[in-house]
Amino acid sequence: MDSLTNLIDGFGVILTPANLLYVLLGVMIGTVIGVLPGLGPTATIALLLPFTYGMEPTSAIIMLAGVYYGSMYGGTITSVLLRIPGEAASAVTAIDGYEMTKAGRAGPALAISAVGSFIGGTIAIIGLILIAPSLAGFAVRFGPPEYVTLTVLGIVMVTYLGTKSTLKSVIAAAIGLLLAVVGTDPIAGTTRFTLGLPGLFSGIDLVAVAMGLFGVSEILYVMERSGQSHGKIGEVGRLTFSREDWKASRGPITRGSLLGFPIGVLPGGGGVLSSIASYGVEKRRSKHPEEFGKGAIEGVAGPETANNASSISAFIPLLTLGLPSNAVLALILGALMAQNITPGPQLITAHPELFWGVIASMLVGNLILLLLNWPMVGFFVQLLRVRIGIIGGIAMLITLVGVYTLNNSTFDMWVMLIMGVLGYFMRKFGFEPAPLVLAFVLGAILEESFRQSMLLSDGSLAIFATRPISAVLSVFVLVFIASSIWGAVRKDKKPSIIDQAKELAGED
Amino acid sequence: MSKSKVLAAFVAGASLLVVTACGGSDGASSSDEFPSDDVNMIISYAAGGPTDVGGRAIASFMEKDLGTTFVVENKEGASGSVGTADVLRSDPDGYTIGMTTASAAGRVPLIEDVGYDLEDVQAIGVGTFGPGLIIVSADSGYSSIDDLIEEAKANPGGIKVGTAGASSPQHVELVRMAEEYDVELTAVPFQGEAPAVTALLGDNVDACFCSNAQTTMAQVDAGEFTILATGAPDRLGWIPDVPTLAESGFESLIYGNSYFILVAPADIPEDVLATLEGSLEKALQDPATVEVIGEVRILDEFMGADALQEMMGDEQETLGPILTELLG
Amino acid sequence: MNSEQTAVATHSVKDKIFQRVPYAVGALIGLYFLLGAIGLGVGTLSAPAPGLWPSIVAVVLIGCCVVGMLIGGDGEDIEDFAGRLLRPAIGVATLSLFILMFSRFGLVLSGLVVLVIWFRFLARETWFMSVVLAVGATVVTYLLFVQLLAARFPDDVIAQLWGGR
Repeated sequence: MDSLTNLIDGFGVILTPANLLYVLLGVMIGTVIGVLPGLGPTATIALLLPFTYGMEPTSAIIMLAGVYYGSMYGGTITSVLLRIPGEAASAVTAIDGYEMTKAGRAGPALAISAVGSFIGGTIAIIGLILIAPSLAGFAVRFGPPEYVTLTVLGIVMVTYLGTKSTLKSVIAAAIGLLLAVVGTDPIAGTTRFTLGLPGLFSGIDLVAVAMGLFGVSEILYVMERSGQSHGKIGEVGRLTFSREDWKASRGPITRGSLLGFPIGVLPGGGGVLSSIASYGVEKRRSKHPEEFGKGAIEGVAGPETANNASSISAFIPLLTLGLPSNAVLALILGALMAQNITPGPQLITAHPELFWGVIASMLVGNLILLLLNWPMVGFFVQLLRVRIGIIGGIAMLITLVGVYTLNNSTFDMWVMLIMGVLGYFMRKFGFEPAPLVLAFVLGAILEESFRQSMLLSDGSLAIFATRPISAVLSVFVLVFIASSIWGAVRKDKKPSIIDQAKELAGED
Repeated sequence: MSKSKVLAAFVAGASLLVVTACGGSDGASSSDEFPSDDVNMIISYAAGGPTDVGGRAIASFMEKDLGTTFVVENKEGASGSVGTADVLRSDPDGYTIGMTTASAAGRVPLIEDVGYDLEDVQAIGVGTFGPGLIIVSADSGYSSIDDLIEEAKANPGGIKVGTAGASSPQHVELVRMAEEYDVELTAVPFQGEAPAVTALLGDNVDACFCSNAQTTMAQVDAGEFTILATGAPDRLGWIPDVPTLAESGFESLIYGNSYFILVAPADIPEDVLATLEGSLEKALQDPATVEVIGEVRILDEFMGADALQEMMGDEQETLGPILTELLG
Repeated sequence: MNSEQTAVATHSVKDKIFQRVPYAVGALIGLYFLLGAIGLGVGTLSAPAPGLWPSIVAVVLIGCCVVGMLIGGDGEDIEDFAGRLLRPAIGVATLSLFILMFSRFGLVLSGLVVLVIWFRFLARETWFMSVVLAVGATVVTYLLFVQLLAARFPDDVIAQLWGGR
């Protein structure tokens, strides 16, 4: 067991007071910025980066890594309590988590998130130790055609997220896809649909869209009646999950780990895709899919686990191939470069103390996060004792200034407000915002990959069927659509093709 | 990821003006010995990127060399034009300089209204250099650029070449290659160099025309990739055997490179310019600075204010029409 | 905020039109993008132009909206608007005021003014509570973002009185 001795050496590296402090500092900053809407891990790490230039390389990386996965924990809290997703990955959690809060089950939602995140993170770290190099080699083969089929699968799942009519979900998703088109064309480099506003040249910011459609619209909705603003969002209720909750969540947590891990390794993949996939799979597998969107704990446990697992496995391409798989990891790559360390295939042999130190720090960091977050549930749910009108005002202030920090521009504040109004009216007309937000996320990846695929195949759509991974994913898409239609035809609320859904979950 | 926020540039620029006006008005008349005050260096790309790493390394040398404090700040967005605009809008006294790219200074203004033009720029010199590199997998079967070009001629459009984006200098060169020389390589743009290199590593593209980012060089050093040609005007000191595109039959394709450059507003005093230029040249000979930046990212011969300004002018003249056609 | 809101009766002609409003709006959005996309050029599959993808999505959107208009809404999803738009509208106006003030006066003054309005008139707290809460929330936000996280906000007219920024 080479890995084991190496890992023990890794613990030797980080179990020094200074490095433990950096882990603690990292995960705490991560939690805070995860809680604060707007400020995401990318912006925070960019702010912290210059400070790390003077630090030991290992210390620098373990702190920045802590900020990253710590923010995954933190983002959950506002999603669940206020329906304000602090970052994209927790947008899915906002669906059922907030419903649980309204039903007085905020405690169980937050507690299961903390536990699920810990389990997902830990399983991903073990996966990282055991199969990182071979998995990374596989992941790079994931090219544009595979992305097209994966994101199409994601969008099909997204339209299935809603609790209301499928037609309305499809319309919301299509609008999300169109909003994603605004800005600079990913292939041609020209600008589209910008209405001449410079603020739109680089597209609409996802965080502004998500917080507007979920958070702001919710506050506007609550403020509708003067009587309501003196009410509460929900009762405080019990602080942790019950035995039944745990039984319901075990499966989603396990599957969430197994789904989130490989998706995180994919270049450009990560958080949101993994939580969407987990939500879709859980709803499909569930014996009571109609409860999803109305406070099903499975809809919190699975996605939260998956996004944490993916945030850990996202380090694999960076540490083993030197390839950052998303913006946050590109910054961490920058931190390594500034330390004169070349991440790449040679990193593990050239700097074992760094590689194994970072891995050991992730195990420690995840444990700290669990110990930090579980007891904090009791503290956070006390927020629910405050009247809605007050919470709403404070939440709006923090959300607005948080959105400002995205680009230091009031433009994003306006975008968020407009999205809030849109979300309010959508809700009044029985449309759900979730398909719009999630399709918006996937839309940019889908279009770029689709057009790259067409360039690669000289315009032949056969490319999606002839490449093996893509072909398998295409089959999943077809199975998913076919079984949805079949289910609709039979007017049977229960999923009729559980076997196929199991296959779907098992294969991933 | 770049954010096009001219509005933000405007607000930030205005507030910066106020700050520099208050801070610099008392001590900064050009008759004094330069520098007698802190120097602000605005890096117009995000922390952690090549502009940032190079800019900070150079700043920390110049700080010691000139005996003053360099206050380094990242102001990214809109392909580097936000930070560049801030620099060019500041007082031309040498106390506000910028680390940016030749592309942000010279090309972006051709495509979008960013509030400045090349005339507003006083180049100080090239800090670091990202030559365009045509790269294939080591096991691709192509051992020279001629192999690749022959295949492209036999099978027009059949070779797929990843680039770091539709507006990257290398992508534009591939378009020019097709238009001016009728050699058609299909350019497939990605969002940055790392995704393009990932695609090459996964055999999703046949080649890459990117640059020498750390991610790319790691694969070259590991023996995964072979460099077939460079887009630089001259052969590079660290790969003397690799031909340029210009000597491979594409005489005019010498602009597929990224220059990370130090700039100031036009009209800064001659002596101040000379001081900054001299200090930059010294920085690039300083072993510690070279080590941080990486030898492969430093020009074999220092390119100072005049040469750089001329190169950017030529580039604008040659590429102007095609850039406006492609991206305008 | 239960989902069992008063449902609109689905009988009258007026309501039938009302139910179709979102589909009409959706179709118009689709039409806007479709026309824009055609203007950008659709290209071919082997050389897709910027308009190809948006036009595909826009056609799907228009199609779905037309179906929606034909079959009409499932009326039970739609909530009553009558007399309820005033307070959300005040909310939006208050938030707009904050954005406008924020870029001119910085965080503290704008935060105080807007939160007092919000707490007093939207949340119906007492004047005393409104002011106390507004001061508390603004100060905490200021400390968190400006002092702790070093966010770059517009120059703050109030904080500058104490030499802050």
